Amino acid sequence: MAIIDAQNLSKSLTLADQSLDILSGLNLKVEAGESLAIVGKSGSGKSTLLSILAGLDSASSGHVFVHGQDLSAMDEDGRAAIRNEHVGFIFQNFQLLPHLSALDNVMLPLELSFDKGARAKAIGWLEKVGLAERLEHQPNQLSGGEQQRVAIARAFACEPDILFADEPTGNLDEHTGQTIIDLLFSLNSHQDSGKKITLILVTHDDDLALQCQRQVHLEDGVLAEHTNGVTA
Amino acid sequence: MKSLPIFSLAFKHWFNDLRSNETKLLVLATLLAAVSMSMVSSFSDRLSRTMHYRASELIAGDLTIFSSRKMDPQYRVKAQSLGLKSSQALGFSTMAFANDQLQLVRVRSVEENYPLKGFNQVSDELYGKGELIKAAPEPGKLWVEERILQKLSAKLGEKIEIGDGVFLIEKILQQDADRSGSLFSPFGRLLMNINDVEKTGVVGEGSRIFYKHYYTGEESALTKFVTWLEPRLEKSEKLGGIKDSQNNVSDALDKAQQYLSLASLISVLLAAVAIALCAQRYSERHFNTAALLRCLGASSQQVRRIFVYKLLFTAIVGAVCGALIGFVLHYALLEVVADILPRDLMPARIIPVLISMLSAAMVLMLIALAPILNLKKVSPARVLRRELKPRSVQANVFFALAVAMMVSLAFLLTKSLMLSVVFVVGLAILLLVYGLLSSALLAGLLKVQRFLPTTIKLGLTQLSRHQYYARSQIAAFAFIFTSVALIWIVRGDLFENWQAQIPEGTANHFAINILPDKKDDFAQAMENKGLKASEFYPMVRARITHINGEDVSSIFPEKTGPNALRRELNLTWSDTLRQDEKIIAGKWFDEIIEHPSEKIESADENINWISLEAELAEQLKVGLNDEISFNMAGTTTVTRIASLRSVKWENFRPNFYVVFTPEVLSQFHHTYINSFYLPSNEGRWLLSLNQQFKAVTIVEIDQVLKQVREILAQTSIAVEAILLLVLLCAMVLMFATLLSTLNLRKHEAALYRTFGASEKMIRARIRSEYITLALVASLLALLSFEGISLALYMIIFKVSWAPHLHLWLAVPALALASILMSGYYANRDVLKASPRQLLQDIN
Repeated sequence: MAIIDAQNLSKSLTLADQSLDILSGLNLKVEAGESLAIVGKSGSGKSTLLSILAGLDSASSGHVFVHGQDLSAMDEDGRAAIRNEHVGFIFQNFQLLPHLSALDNVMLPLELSFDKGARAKAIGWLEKVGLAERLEHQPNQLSGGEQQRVAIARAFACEPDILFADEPTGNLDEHTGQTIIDLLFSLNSHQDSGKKITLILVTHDDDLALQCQRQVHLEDGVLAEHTNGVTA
Repeated sequence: MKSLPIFSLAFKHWFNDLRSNETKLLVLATLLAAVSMSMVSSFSDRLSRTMHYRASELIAGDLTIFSSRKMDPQYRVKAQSLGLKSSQALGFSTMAFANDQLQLVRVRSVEENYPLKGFNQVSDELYGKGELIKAAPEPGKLWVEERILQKLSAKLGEKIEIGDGVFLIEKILQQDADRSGSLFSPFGRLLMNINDVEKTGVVGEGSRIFYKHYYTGEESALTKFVTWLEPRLEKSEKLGGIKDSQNNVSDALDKAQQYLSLASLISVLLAAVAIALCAQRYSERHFNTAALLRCLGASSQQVRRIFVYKLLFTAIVGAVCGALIGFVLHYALLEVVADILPRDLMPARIIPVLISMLSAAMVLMLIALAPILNLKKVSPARVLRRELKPRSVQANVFFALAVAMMVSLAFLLTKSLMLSVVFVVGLAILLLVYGLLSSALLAGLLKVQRFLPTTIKLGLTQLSRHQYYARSQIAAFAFIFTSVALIWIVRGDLFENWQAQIPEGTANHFAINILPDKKDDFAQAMENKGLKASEFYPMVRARITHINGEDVSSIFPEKTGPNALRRELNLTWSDTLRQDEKIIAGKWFDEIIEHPSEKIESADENINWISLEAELAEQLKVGLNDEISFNMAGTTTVTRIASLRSVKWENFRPNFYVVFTPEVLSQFHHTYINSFYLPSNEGRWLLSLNQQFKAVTIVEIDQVLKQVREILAQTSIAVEAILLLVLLCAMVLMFATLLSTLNLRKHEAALYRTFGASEKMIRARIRSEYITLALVASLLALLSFEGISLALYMIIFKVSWAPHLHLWLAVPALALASILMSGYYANRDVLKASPRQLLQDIN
């Protein structure tokens, strides 16, 4: 069974009395352990699609099933519970809390799920991303690349089934971006538990997209499947 | 038990948050509200209890029971069992005999421990320097007022006969510790040991005697005693407290206490508005945190708990620290004014500190909770799309709760529900009006901007771009300046009022019993000495016998009526109303004759109209047109009430309950009374005055004046201290207001800098904006201040109003200086930091 199953998704916004269709009748299935890149032009609705798939936002119509549970039938707290249990995030602008140290930022989701070993786990993940010496540093004392490593450690720390990444290299230079991508994929393939996380990422970066098993292209609110760079 | 991790998570976040300006200001505003409440309430709690205590020195105890009959000895037994001290006095009027002369005197016979509170002022020579002693005459010895000695031509060390007893005149009694009773009695007073009463043989069946008990001790024991006593009191037994004796100071004290409370309330309100502004900005700054927490799987309940706990920590730290700091500061304040404070100040209590703590915490929670609860509604999608704002929580409920809280606080501080409601509702309306007026003012100024200087024009353009922020900033600044101006002006008026009440040279002596044919000579003697004297008031002594034809003893049986019925009253006549008195109901005599009205029944010339003091009228349960009969030297005169007057008892001039028209009273035997000021080192002149006018009695009130002056000096300093606190709160609010637009300013500055604007240029823009803001806010503040002061003067103080022109210069100057200085300070990063740093800061 697909870990994510989006059926007939539509999203429209009303702006100045005009309705704007962002997604129209979109279908998408993602299998467990699969890596998927969503590509498309700026403003094509990639981030909106990611939000809806992750339960951060709701669709105007259609259904999203995560682990067979219909997100669209849930209220905000129900979706939060699903996120807490199954989902991790990496954002373009890192989204670290500025007043917390690197360690506290990584501990945050673990503490929210009342994980008693939060501190040890967080330290372990920060060591894995190479920030063992930077535990007590605050975000403004870290470089962009280091901040994104903290965000990756935070995302992996709760051992999610699905990891959503929104332009994870968008705010980084080419070299740092590549290091982050390598880290992301290597962490995913060397999980201690042996399980592979389902990775869904939104990107402009073709190289990054090509490292994923599957790429979908979003244009005019509709998805087109790519196979080896050719639209199917 | 899942709440503990959330609690510790919230604590960790809150602790880290302390680095941010909003959290610091939120803590500071709560802290200041608590400091203000705790300092003022601790200070005024001790001061008022001490003043209560000092005022109790004027009646020689904390509590008295007065009766015309012997009282149950159980009263004193019970008091002793409660740990109270008690003393008893017995009073009567009798004849004193010496040097072949007789004189009617009032005797107070007292026990050894008299006075329980306060001091007797005595001297060892006639008109000599007084000495305060806490002692009573020993058996066989008398302490006698000067006037008795003069009348009897007796000297210290000689003997006086009272009834069957012969007593030694040991000391001159200048001031009895128990000041109750009329100052203007024509008969002198003497103190005697209670064990000597029997020797005199004048007290027996049918004698007119009064009994008085004095009690003193711990407040709680006194309260228990009063609770026990009240149901047991006979009708003839009257409980006495300080209220009866503190006419002289009560008015000034009440006003000072009210002022302190109102000023404290204003400081709390200023802090509350600062809290509201900080909380709004705090909540906006935390939209992202809330969204991220939601992204990471936190439920809305968890988000709510985290932010409510954080607010709770702020409340606890601010309120607890503030209340404790306020408590410590009240000691500092007491230390500053130690010289003029009474020696035995009442100890501090914890109750005002606890109430302040709780109140400050509640102010923060109620005001800040609505914006903070918005955070739980933040959509998690906001982390991807910044523009998403949370759906607003129903703030009305919290607003209503906050208003109710402010009313309760106001009530706590002012003890007047009406005043509290008017104050808080008035404030809410004022803030609303500020908001509306500031928009109108900005719009109006924009229309005429071509006539304005370039700086203002630039500032106006800046402000009009951010109308919402401009409006709230102008409203907040206008509120600050109106509050400070009001507090300042009312303080000035209060001081003037007090100084006017006892100016230098206030009469410190009364001359009574001046015979009509000696009046001009007496006036001449005053003039020769170069003394400032009041006019001469005629005085006739009379007793009230009937009210509306009914005998007063049947209206008020068992001597339950007011004291005025039990003694002779001093009546006077006048055809004009005195300047410091006011007609509360009815009309003055001349108007009745010319314009009879419905309320005053007729202008019948045979009616003897009188004007009665309003409080006495209330005690006698009489009103306009009621008839009162007086017995004057055996003749009954029926009078009718034409008007009720308020009398300023605290003005240290001869005052009268009843005023007649000249035609009626001048037919009776009368004497005159006046008051004058004599420097304290010239007491000996009174001897020669007395030689010249033997019948005249001189009463000194120097001690009373001194005491009133001391109390006023204390309260003045307290008033200054609270003003300082109000200013501090105003400054916090000012910072909170400036911080509320800091992000906007940073963003603009970053863009301007990116496009190549120099620091100088950005500085000029900020300056022009602040100058315009200061001027518009001052204009609004001055308009509302004049409006409020007009209403205050016309409705409450009932005095004429004139615009406060000096403030029209002072307020804009103060506004410009304070806003520009704090503005530069708040914006120092905006001016110095690089555009990249600024944008990073905002993100």
